[in-house]
This record gives sequence, structure tokens and C-alpha cells, in this order.
Amino acid sequence: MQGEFEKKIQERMQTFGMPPSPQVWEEVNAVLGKRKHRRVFIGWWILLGLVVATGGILLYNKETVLRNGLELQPAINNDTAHTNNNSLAKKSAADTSLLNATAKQLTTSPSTPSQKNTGASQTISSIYNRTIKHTSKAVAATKQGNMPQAGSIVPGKNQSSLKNGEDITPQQVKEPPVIAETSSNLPLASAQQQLTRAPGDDQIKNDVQSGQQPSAPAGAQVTTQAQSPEKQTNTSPKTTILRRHEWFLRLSAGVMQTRQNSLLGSGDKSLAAATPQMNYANILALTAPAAIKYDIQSPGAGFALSASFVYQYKLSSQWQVYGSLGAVFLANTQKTGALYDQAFNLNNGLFSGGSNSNVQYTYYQGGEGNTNTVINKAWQLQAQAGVNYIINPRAKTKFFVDAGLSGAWMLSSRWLIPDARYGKLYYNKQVLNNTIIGWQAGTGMQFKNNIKLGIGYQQSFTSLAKSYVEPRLKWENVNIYTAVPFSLIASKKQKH
Amino acid sequence: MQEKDLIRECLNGDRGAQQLLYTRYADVMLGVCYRYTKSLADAEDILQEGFIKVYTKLHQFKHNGELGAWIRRIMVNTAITYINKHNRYKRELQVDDIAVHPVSDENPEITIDTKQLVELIRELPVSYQTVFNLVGIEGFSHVEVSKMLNINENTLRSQYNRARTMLISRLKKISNASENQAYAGRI
Repeated sequence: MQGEFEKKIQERMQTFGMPPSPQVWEEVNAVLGKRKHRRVFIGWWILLGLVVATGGILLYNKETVLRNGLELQPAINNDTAHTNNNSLAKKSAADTSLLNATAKQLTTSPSTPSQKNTGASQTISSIYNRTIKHTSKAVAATKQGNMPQAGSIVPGKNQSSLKNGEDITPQQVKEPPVIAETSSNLPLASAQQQLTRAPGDDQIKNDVQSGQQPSAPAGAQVTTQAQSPEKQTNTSPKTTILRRHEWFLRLSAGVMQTRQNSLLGSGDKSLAAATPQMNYANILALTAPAAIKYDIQSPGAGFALSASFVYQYKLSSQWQVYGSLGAVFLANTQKTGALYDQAFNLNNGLFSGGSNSNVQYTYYQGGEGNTNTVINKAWQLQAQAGVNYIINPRAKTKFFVDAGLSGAWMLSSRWLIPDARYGKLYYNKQVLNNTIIGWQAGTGMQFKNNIKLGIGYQQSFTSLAKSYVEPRLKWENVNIYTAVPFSLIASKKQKH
Repeated sequence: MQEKDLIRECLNGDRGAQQLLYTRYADVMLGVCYRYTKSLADAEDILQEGFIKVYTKLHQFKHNGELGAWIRRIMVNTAITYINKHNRYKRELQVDDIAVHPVSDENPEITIDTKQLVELIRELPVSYQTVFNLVGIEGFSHVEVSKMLNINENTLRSQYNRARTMLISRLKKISNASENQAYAGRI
């Protein structure tokens, strides 16, 4: 039943449209939201679990910094352990910090094993108990009232002979023979030392308190253990600190721009070709002016700022791996057209097109009509992981190159996205990608105090907008950065 | 390819993709709904219901044809359901029109713009409006439409012919009026 009359009407109706009120989408959105609510709720729980797990791993790593990076080799032999007063004096500088800390805890020490001194013994016991749990030989010896041989107590060995939860009070231990582990609150430098202490150690304490070089009393042994067994010698024990773990605060600033795919700039794929006339006629009740070009104007260059915490693990003298978590701020400008101005009654430079979600059904007119400037802004939470290669590991100022991958999560944004295919312009975070994957590479130098200064380049693999929006906007930035080690910050604080 | 990406993201529950799909098609689809109703509010109700159906049945889209045509079909079906459900339309729809009207071969020039043409269609009685939309514009056969509206096929033919005749006469009237106005202007 299709006559000529019907065909004419059909042609007219193919292009007929009119903008619905915003409430329609809001209601559709609400219905969809109810369905998705449960999934989102489960998603939050998963996210919470990930955050807790990540926190746990970080805390665990922090503990490992103390233990792995600075702890001494547990293996020890008697030859190393027994030192004389001269060797003690030689390394007394290194021991002083430990002794200071120890002396603070050893406020009062019993001069004889039988002497009761509750305050001092409680302080000692807090240290002693931690040690004694790990030291079955000491347990056996103290339970029997015997003194263990100096150097025979090796933390971590023969732990199985002590039952879980079994504790030994100072009263049971007539003479605290060994303080093999200091309080965890002690400075890092102290933690690498283990003081083997025997009767008569008051002398050490007195020496420390009086600021003198501590001299070893009879039967006292100060044991220093090296991290690497091969570095341990029988005659001259050395303390080797391998700073495998390091935390940095990294700050960077640079210029950024968005890269578009080939849809932009090519004459045959201008917005005019992609934009049906009906859009103008029916949505904005305006006739698209034929004389004006409709090419989408490329966004201007902007800037990128970031601040992050970086964890670095040293694989070898030359290779390091790192991971970081931080915030990134991106901003640039984008020109919009006169038609856009006309539709929303915008004045030059005063873009206030409303919230992220209500600027829709808008059409872009470029070319001569560009009068408005929109400032795009985006906040991202960014995680990076990569590898550092130090070119000259033995030099004081080390040069390095690094490369890695990054993942960023959009926290908030106001970013104008032109969709050339449909001739629309979105200022709507819902068409923005929530997750942006990228890569980065750079080079720089690390000074003697471990401060890093470098230059980096970063580019996103994924588009800033969803993949179904054309053109695809990938961002890139060149930045200079500095990374300050936490250890340096901590040491400066201590000095103050 | 992009449309496939969009559909995939919509099926994954990506709200941004769902909104983009809505943004791309809502205006044209409201135009469709508007032709079937007497008020914009009713048209928006149909549009809303239609889009919810689109999202819930998107997995049934086979990519054989255009997504726009598929959505349009859903909107038309939703509009018919709406008309059959609401009394203000239903009462007028079920008026039997037994008299057979001869088919007009007239093919007048359409000098008015699309919006005016749509308004002319909307001014037809509900039954004529619906039948003309389905047969004349959407291109359904009489058999299909008679099943959709649950009316006799002869009645449908009669209604369609009357709708067509009525529309042509109104178009002529407007055309004549504008010619007279132009002629009067010259005098």
C-alpha cells in the first residue's frame, strides 16, 4: 500500500526528531540504577577488600624494611661473637646508638643475679621476653638456672622447643643472660646490632651514660653480624647495610596534550560530513550554516601535576623495581563554537555549561565560529610500576633510565569530548574512561643522598573517552620530577 | 565497529555507554513516539518505557540490521501497547468503521515543513492516526497491523483509506490557503 504520497511522508519522517526532557533519562537511569545497585554494592565490598589487602601488604613490607634491609645475619659463630675490648672500642661508634637506646631501658640493672629490682627487671623483661621466646637454648638454660654460653644464642634457631605462648618471667630467669633483640621502637641503626649481655653489664650502661666509649665488662660480648655471610669474617666483624627497600615522595610537573586519531584534521571526515542537517533543524531549531566549516578544533596544550609515594626494591646494584600510588591533575583548554554559545547563551570565556551530566544534545561548530574556551580538568588516582636501571652504580651521582606501566582511575573530571561521528559534544563524565592504562619512560640522576631528579614521558594506551566516541583522545605528557627518600626526611626530622 | 563496542559496553552495564546510546537515539525516537500520541507527556512516557526495554533486551539484538531500526521497532511496539492500555486511546481505537472507502490516488505536493506535517497526522482521530502511522509510515502490511491492533482487516483498510483521504484534504487546504495568501499579496 505504498504510494508516492506515503514515500514522501516516510522520507520526511526518517529525519524527524525532538529532544526529550532531561527527566526522561533521569527516570530511565533510576530504573537501570536499581537493577545495578546490588552489583555495585558487591563491587564496593570487593574494593574495600582490595584496599585492606593492599594496606596489609604495605605494612608487611614496612616491617620487612626493618628486618630484611637492616637486620643482621642470624648465623654467628663463637669466634666472631667473642670480641675483646679493643674490637669493641673500634666499633663503639656504631654501637653507641644501640647502647644509648638500651641504656634508656636499662634504667637500673641488678648488680647480682639474686638482687631484686622490680622496675629494672620489668624493663629488662620486656626486652628479654621477646628474645627468650625465640631462644630455646636460653630457655633451657635459664629454667635450669644456668648461664648460656655467650654467642650460643642464635635468634631463630631451635624455636620449636619452646611451646607457643610459653613465657618466662624475670623471676624465673635468675640472670638475664642475653639481650639479643632490641625494642622495635629503637632507631634503625640500633636494630642492626645485637648486644649480647652478661653479668656486670652495668659497666656498659655507665660508660654509655657518661658518654665514654663503652668498655666490655667481664663476660660481656657485643656481637655484630653481617647481612651477607660471605662478608662475615672471623677476625673483624663488619656491619653491612643493604638498603633494599626505599620509600620516596615523588613530585612532578609537566606539559600535557591530548593526541587524537586520524579522524581529526582530514577534510573528508570533517564534522560537517558526519553531522546530519536534521540535528541542527530539530534539536536546536537552528539551520546549520552551510558556509562555516565544522572541523573539530584540536584541544590546546595543558599541564599535568602529580604527587605520589614510591616504593623501590633493589634487585641488584644496577636493577631496581618500583611501584607508586599517587594523585594526578590534568588540565587543558578546548575551543567550542558559536552554535554552542547560541544554544546555551554562553559568553566568551565564561563557560558554565552546568554539571557534568546536563550538557547534552549539543553540537560543535568549529572553524570561524570558535569563540568559547572550555577548561578541561581531571583528577586521577594513579598507580605505576616499573624498572630502574642504574647506568653507573659505583658513582656518587648515579644516572638511571626507567620504564613502566601505569593505571589511572578517574576521580573527578570536567572534560569536553567531541564526538565527530555523531556531531555531538559531551561535557559529561559518563563518556570518560574510568580506567586509563598507559606507559612511561624516563631518565634521571640519583645524588649521593638518594634524591632523584629526572625527566619523564608518559602516554596513555587507552582513550580519555570511551572507545565508542570518536575521535579517541589519548593523553601524553612530558614532566620533570624529583623524588625524595623518606629516610632523608626522617633523618632531618631527627636532627631537628 | 563502534556501535558494537557501544552495545557491548551497554550489556556490561556501563552507565556511560547506556547514556550515550540514549543520547544518540532519543531525539529521533521521541519523534516516532510523538506521532502516535496526542501529547508530548505521553510520548515521553512511551520513550521511557521503550528505552528500558531496549536496555533489557539488547542482548537479543543480532546485528543483522541497524540498531536504530531495531530500537524504532521497539518504540512502535511500546507505543501500540501504550495505546491499547490507556482508555483515552483505546476507546477511540476500537470504533468499527465498516463502510469501505475508495482508495484515493491523489499525490499532493507537501509544502509544509516536517513539524507541521507531524501535527497534521496527530490531529487525525486516534484510530486513523495509529493506522496511518503503522501502514503509511512504518510500512507494515494490513495483516500485520490488524493483528497488532486486534481489529478486523476490512475495518483497518477502511480506516487507513479514510485517514489518507483526510490527511490529503487537509494538506490541500493548507496549500490552497497559502496560495490564496500569496495571490492576495500580489493584488
